[in-house]
Amino acid sequence: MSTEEQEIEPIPFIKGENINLVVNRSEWIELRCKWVNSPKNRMFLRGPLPSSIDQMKKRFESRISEGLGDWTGFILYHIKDKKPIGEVGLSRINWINGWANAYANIGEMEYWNKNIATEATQLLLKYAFEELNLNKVSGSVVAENIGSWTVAEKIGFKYEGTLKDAKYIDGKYRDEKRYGYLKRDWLKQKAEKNSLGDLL
Amino acid sequence: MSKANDKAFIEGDKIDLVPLNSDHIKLYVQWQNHPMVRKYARNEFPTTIEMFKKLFEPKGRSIEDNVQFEILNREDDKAIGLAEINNIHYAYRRANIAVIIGDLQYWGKGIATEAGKLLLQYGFSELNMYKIKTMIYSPNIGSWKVCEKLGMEREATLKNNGFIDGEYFNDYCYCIFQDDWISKYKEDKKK
Repeated sequence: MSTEEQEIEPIPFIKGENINLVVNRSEWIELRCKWVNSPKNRMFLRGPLPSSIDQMKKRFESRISEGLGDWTGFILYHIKDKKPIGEVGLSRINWINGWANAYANIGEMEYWNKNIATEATQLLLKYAFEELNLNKVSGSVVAENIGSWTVAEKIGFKYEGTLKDAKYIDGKYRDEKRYGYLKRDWLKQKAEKNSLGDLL
Repeated sequence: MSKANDKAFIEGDKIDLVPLNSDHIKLYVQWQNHPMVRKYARNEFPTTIEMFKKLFEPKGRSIEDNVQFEILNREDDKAIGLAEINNIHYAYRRANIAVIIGDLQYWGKGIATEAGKLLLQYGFSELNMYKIKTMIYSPNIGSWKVCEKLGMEREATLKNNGFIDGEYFNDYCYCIFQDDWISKYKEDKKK
């Protein structure tokens, strides 16, 4: 074995089928910058402002000392291709209300339309409900971002309403669709899946 | 019911729970270090004023894992003790409660029972805890009677878990669950 530092395969924090949710690493900061700054990618994400590597680093470091925070997130690691391809997480966690906002971003565009977001979000929901014991997970999607809200509905998120002119993107105000997932619905869906498994 | 208090965060009957006051640090530290008060309160090491001051510094966390109150006696508007919910685990939704009555004149007046009741009500109805527990040394009979009055159940005994005045003592774990507390609280209100 060489004494040189070898690329260590990240341990899955949460195991999936095509992707694992793995713990963030400082050496992925540049990659994550690329993802959030890429024009096609950032269109439906939060900010119209650029994220510098320094800002990203600062944010990464501030989370080291934070303790119990209002945020938790993972890197999506493609099992077969052995590389990080996006991010998923819970933001604005309110521990007393048992609520959080879910987000997902497939940064590497060649992995779009391959059900990665579906799998990642399902892993995230299982974590939110069965490990963090949250009661509700919400998500908001710009109405034009049909791909994302189709995924949300497929997974079982319930449509709760539309916020008019909530986001200004690419020269126009756009509506935002709000989705919610309750823990009791998650458990019901899981029980149904299990009983189906017994029959097959 | 004695006079109302505009400082109250949680209103009780004989007492209110109010936010900690940095002007009272000397008083708090005196209580923590008092031989009779600290005997069963697990304060084996001295607490300095500077250590207590740290509690008032911002922690950079979005949410605290403990919440502390001063116990204020309504009748004479006097700070007499401390009440806290600590070790809050937000995912498991459980926490621990602790009460000290620092001013010895107020012992044996049911104040700890009322402080415990206010803490449980706060923990269950506002912080949405699922289980609240407290640890009591076996010779601290007054305190485990308080727990039983509050409807808490002795769920376990940890053998020789504490060391007081040169002797080992058992530790009792008392606990109560959210549903049980809420139905008990409703019943008590009806009476």
